[in-house]
Amino acid sequence: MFVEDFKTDFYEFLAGKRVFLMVHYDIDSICACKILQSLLKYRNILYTVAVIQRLEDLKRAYVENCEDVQYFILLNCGGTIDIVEELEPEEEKVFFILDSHRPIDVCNIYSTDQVRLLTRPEEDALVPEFNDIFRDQSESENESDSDSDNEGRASKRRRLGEEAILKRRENRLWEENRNKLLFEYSQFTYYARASAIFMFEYAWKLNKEDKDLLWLAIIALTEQLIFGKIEHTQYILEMEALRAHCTRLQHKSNDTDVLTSLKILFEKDLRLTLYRHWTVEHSLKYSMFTAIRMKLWTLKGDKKIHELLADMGLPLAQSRQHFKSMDLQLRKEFHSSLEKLSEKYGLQDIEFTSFILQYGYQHKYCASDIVFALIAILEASPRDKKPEELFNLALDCLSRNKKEIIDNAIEKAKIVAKSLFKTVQNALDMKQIINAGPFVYYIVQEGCLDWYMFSHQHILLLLSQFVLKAYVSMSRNKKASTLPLIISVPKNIENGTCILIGIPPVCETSPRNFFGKAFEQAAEKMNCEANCDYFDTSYIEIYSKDRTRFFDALAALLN
Amino acid sequence: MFAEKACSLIKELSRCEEGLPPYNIELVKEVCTEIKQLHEQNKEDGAIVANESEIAGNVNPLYPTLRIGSAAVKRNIRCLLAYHYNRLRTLRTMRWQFGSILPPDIKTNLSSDEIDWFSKYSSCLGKYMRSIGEDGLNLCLDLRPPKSLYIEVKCLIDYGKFELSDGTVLLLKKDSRHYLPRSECEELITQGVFHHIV
Amino acid sequence: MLPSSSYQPNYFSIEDILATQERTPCKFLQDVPRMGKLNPSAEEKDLKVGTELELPLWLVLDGAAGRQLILAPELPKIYREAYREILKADATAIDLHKFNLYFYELGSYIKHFDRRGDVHNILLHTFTTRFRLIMDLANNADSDPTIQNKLDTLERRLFKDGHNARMKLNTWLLESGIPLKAASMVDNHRKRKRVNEELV
Repeated sequence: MFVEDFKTDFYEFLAGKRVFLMVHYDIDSICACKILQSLLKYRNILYTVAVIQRLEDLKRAYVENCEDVQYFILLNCGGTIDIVEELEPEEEKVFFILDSHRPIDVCNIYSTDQVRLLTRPEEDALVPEFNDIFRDQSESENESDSDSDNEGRASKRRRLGEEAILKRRENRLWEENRNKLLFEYSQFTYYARASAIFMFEYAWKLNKEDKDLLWLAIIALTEQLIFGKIEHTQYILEMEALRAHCTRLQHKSNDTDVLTSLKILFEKDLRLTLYRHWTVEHSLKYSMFTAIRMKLWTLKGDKKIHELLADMGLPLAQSRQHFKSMDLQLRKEFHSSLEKLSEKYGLQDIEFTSFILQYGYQHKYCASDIVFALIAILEASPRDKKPEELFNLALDCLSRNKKEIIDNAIEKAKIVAKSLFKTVQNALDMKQIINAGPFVYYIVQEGCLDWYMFSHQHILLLLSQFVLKAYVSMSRNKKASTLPLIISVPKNIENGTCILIGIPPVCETSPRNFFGKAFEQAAEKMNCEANCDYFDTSYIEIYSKDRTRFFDALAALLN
Repeated sequence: MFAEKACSLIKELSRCEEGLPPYNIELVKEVCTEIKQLHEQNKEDGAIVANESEIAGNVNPLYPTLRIGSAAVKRNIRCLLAYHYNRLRTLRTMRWQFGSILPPDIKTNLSSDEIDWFSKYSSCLGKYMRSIGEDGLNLCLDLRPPKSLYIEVKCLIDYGKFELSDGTVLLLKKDSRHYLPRSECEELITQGVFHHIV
Repeated sequence: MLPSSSYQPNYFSIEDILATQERTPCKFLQDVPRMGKLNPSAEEKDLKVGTELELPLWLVLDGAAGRQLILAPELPKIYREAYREILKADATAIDLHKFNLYFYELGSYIKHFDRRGDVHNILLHTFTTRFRLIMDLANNADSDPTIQNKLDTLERRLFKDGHNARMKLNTWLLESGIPLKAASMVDNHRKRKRVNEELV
């Protein structure tokens, strides 16, 4: 069921109770969690936070805590699975779910009490009607019983045969219809509005919103844009809404804001990774946007950068300096001169509207900077760090007074950007992106540099988008833009497993992903052991030895 | 040289800032023997000096020997007392910081008398704290006035189950975050189970 | 109760005991029967008048007190003219730690052996010149951590206290709410344990 009124059915309802937060391991969840924490703190609602990466974690956390806790809040996890079936909770346990993964499992939507969804029902989601997918078996039998009571016993026996046949036929049709509806409903996986934006709006309705919380919502939105989880139009819509909040809060500023001069500015940003914290040359070279438009992995592309810099009137020595240390004049003109030349170098749309957080006189961060920093913390940290530790670090990174953490993370993010670029360059040079008919695939080998980094969901997602776009831009095959991509990265070398990700073709404007179902069916068909307990089902973990067969099965399926 | 051993006891202590080195029973015994020997010698010399000065009215040649001997005894005693006294001081601070149960690796460093003293001190302190106000007051907690009644904490170790005073049970796992009443956390923070997040 | 690290010598003070253990040169004014073992270089049974020895300060102090002096103390070399000149030239440049671990504690005993008050003056001079350095260090500790190796025990304690106070002030200024902390002993105990585990 959907929670109708956030205030009475959730916030007031939980006052004085203890809740258990299960938070998915991604940026949106961390932002949503931070907003929720501040809301819970206002009402002194005791909470415990657990980090969830996969279904297995969710189950374990539930089992460990179910004795002591009655109320569970799930952020960005659990919406797409049948919670009641997976966890087998006792009657009185209640689950509040705020999940941006789609589609939401129908059992959660039609749960009467135990599962309560904090999202709003979406019109375009085409949720099957209750009666089309659920039917009370006993009820229908009772009906036929009462019917037959009215008539004579003798006729009943005769008609029973007929009726049973009719009934069975009806059942079969209903069943077919049900399967069809469910398939249509769950065919594509995609992302809906970021949970942090939902949370921020709830905070707003409770009159507890402030600039810090707004910033978290902005980060979550920017994350969705950077990872291509939502369409650009959707981004624009959400951004306008947040911009309105931003203006409103700017006027509402209180004394402490003046002291720390905390400001959120609405500004145009460039699709250049971390350029404010890097050198212009590196940022141009390692950003996905410029790399693809200018084919920077080629020798020609490399020259083109220098051409561009020359056109902009930016001396090479300056472009190799930290952006902050560049001449003031050049720095001021950087934005506009790049925009002027964007058409000449095929860099249209290099600008996008975004937000900047400024506090004090030395801290100034773009929303995208923070997203890259967070992802570097979460997914590019040394292997001996546990996810819980990194989750805490990421939470700290979002606190304003932890500048060193952000700065360290930004340094790490640069390494991520470089290594993404180099991997793509390598894949193209060695012609490792292989066309398998209905899709292309790329296998990251075990010995490959930084393979460990790519075995994480989001960096892998970035890699796959980068690889596919680069492949399309280089391919002579006209159909290249209609092909989806699968990437395989080693996951656990000891067990010999690898993680696969599938992304839709470049020509699709919508990021709806059909690989969830395709993976499931392929795994079913070839009867191999697969671990599909990611909440985003476009990832799957299989044994590397099964990979060739798995690709064959997929190819057959998609043909 | 006199009092060399006694001094090495003190050096042991000073090397170990804030912690306690193992109680060095052998060395303590040896120092005691040294004191006894010196004392016997001094007694003999003292008798001679006292007798002869009465008779002759001038200073006996043994007088400087006696003085050095007695200085050595005094020095030994001072070291020995300081050794024990400073250990007890550290032990007392430990009661306030670790609580009434000491970590086992610290406990092995104590002499049996020290363990005895610790438990007596501990029960004295406990009794006193219970007697304050109506239902006692834990003085070992942080004495600064709280900013809020609830605080957010991060668990630093796998602690297991922990029961709050109202009966709710928490599972404390490493790196999990909790929002709890401050009064429930304070002790676990001083004991290093929780880290307070501001 | 006196703090264990009190500068004022108290009977139980570990620092005072260690400072009075320092060797000080002295000359015997009387024969001391049966104390030949105090002089390791000679094998005689008795200690002869005029013997020059370096003895622990506590023994020297005792011998140089009272109506009848057994020995005459002399200045340890670090408090003598040559060293005093060095200190006068630039006290801040000196590795006091190498001079003596307890330069000031020891000095405040030694100064009584020096009638003219030169030692007294040099102690005061050294401390006042070096104090500024210590203040500076304590306020900007991250500048060079090795420099505190040049401090004597007293200076080191001043540095530590000053540094801690500074850090506390900094945290208070930065994040007005001071977080609750684990007790220092618990903290160190855990760190030591971790180090031990790593060594194993």
